[in-house]
Amino acid sequence: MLLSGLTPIAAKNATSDDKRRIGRVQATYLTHLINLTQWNKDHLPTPSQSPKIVILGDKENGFTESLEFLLEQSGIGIGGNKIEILHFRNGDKIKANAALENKPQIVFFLSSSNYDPKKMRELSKHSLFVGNGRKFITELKGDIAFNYSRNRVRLIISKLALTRRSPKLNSQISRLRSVVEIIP
Amino acid sequence: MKIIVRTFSVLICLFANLLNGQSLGDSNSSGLSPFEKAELRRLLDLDFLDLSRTPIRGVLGYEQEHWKNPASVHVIRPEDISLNGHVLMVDSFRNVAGMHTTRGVGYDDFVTMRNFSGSATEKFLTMVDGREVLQLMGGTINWTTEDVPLAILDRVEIIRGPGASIWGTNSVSGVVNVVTKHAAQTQGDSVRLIIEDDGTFLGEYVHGGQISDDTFYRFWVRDQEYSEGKLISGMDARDDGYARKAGFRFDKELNADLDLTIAGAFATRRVEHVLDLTARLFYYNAADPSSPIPIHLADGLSLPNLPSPLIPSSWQGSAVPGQTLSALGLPRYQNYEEMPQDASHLRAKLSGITENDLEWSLSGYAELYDTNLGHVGHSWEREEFDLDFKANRPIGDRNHLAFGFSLRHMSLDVDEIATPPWRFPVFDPSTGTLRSDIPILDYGTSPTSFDRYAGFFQNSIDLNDRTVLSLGSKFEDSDLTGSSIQPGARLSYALDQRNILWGAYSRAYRQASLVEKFTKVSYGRIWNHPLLPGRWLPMDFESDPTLDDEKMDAFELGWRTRPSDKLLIEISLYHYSTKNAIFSGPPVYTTSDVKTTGGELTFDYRASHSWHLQGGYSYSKGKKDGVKQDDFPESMANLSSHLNLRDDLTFIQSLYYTGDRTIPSAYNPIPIDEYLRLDLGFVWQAKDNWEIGLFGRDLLDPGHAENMYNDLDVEPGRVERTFLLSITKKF
Repeated sequence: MLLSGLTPIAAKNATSDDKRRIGRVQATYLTHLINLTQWNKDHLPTPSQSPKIVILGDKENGFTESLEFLLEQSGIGIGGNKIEILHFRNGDKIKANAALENKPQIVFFLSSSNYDPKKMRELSKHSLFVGNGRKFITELKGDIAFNYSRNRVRLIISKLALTRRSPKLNSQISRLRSVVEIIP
Repeated sequence: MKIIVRTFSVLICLFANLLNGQSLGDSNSSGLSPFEKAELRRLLDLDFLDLSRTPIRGVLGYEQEHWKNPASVHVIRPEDISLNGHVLMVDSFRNVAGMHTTRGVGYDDFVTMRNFSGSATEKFLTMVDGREVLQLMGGTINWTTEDVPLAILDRVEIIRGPGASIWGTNSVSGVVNVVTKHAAQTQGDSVRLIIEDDGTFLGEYVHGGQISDDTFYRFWVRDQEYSEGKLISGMDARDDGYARKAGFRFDKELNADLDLTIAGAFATRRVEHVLDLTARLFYYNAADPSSPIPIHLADGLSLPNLPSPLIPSSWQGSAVPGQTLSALGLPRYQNYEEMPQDASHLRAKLSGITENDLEWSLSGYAELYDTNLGHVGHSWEREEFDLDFKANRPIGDRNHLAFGFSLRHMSLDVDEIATPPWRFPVFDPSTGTLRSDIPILDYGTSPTSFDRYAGFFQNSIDLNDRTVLSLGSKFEDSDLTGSSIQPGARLSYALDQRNILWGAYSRAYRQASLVEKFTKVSYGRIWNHPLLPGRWLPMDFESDPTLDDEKMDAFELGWRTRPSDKLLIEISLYHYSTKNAIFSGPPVYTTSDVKTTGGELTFDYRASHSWHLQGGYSYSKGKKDGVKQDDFPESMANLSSHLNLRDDLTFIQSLYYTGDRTIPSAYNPIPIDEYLRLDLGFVWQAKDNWEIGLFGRDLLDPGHAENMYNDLDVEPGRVERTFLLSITKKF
């Protein structure tokens, strides 16, 4: 499979309970990361539209539901507006492409996703791309990746996401070197 | 046991039927179970550091908050302490069902759990960052010495019921596990000040800093000043004094999966304590030698050959004119002496995770405690060194193995003196001489050096998606208790997405304290003994080095249900059967067979975004050698309500009910009436990280008695209505 690198080896051995917990921890990370990301006005929707998170891949671990729940509980939004979550399965490529052409603020690739991040990037250059595994950063030009190994979920962040103008992660993340790996 | 099982079955049927109807509907609509939603709320409060340390596959007995945990667990967070107007960590145990938390004089806190510990002795294991803090000499915990500033406290996990297979000896009626924060989580400065209307004061200052990207430190100081309170009779309690403490922590990430922690603290406390001398001089009772007659009673009965003077001159200075004690109207005598304690410890921990998911930690602890019980003339210096290795790793998809071993070396330097009232000539039959220097507690030539070796293993097995079985055992060999095997089995079964049933069997052991085992107690003097009628003779009893460990078989059943993510209800039932249980207090340390049965019902309800309710009820019944115990309240209850009046203003209401009981005594049992405590308070979380709290405590009752050291204290302290101002600032 072209994108098997999205699935960390350790996660393959996880039980269904483990996978759901990985999903909950990832959703919590992402909720915090939204608060730590700045978008230029040009990269935000018009006031009449909701900012969007597009989730790609077949549902598998409750990530989407967890993220919806956390955003509702925390009241966290983008640009002061409530976030709309759109989920597209692997078979929904046409709809997914259309959604990306509308420039969502965040695109999240589930570990089951067979969407190609490089191709999707061409559709939406100013979205924050979030996925799984180190290769998502090193080979697939992603911005943020979750890495599950040694019974923990940790963050890997592309340095570009900290230095570009938009979307830009708050530099305070780079000070958390003990919990975040930054890849140049 | 039958009653427990029947009650449990009926409750399960009732509630399962009640809740079953709505359970599937809700879970399908969101795809998340109520337990998962509740966990998401908790995760949302974690920072990146905590998230990166959250284990995905938890180990039973390690991760206390997982909903499948087959144990009765209560977790106290720092905000549970500050929002409820508690000063010390131990005060917050009043919010834990099954825990009996009481005050003696101003600096004395007593905690017992699940009706099995007599009046004062803590028969559960308390650990602070992995360090056992139970004082083996008397089997007690000094809660002031072991407390930490609120800003560095991460959580207190209270596990009701024995956890011997992992925690080991002394985790009999439960485990209290205190965990402090990583130094990276206490960066900057914080101050906490608490002032009570009686003048009692607590001040804490914490400073944290960063040395490099992966190296953090903090240091802290705290000062607690006690003002003088009253005894229940209205007399001065002479409990003013201070407790001061300072500590540090250094955390360094050596590489991506290897962490080093070094921490330590020094505590010093200066207070006075009393020894009741009222019923310690006796007249020989020829009709019943086992029931000597208090000397003043003998005087009142004009019995022959009374001493002259009736009371030795050294004793007369301890008289409290105009005060009597006990139903016999005995004149009151008491002796106050200094009770200083200096305590220090240092710990180091290396922890990591290997590539094959073996999560491990290696910890070393060194302690030096210098304790002087001036009122009984007994002091000791304790040096202790501990080495502890723990590890766990998944084995395949269904097994998770935890294992470890530990070594301990403890040595004591014990010293005794006769306190001033006891310095009068007494004939010592063991030496055939007159002596004025016989101490109350005589450790003599008993052993002062003890080693302990322990190991444990536990396997958590996912039998299927619904059932988790945990099997394990602890093995110990120590100079104090010999060898023991302490097995445990715990099972958790998920009825559906909202209901978890669990059950457990454990065998647990408690060591006799060193006083109980090795210390000769000379608790009185007797006159007119046929051995030498014209002299005072000591009344004493020998310690019992052959005392076996208390051995408990514990059976537990529990039900945990979340009808929604906002409501958690838990029921825990237990039956303990204990052999060789030791109950301290003169005249002798006796062993008994004790059976204890009871349960707790607790709930946590977030009624809305602005209203949070928590509460619990506990019932317990104990029999010692077939006789009903009355030293533990049968019923206790607590209810706390936090109502957010505005985003930054919370109104707190707390109710605590404690049933009646009796403080046991050989001559002066004190009945404690039931009491209802109402606390009200406001907490204002102002701008710039200021938090200001104002509380009124014990508002229904201007003063009541709760507890005292039986047969050491003369009478309980008066727990008074107090008003408290707390100010916290982070900057």
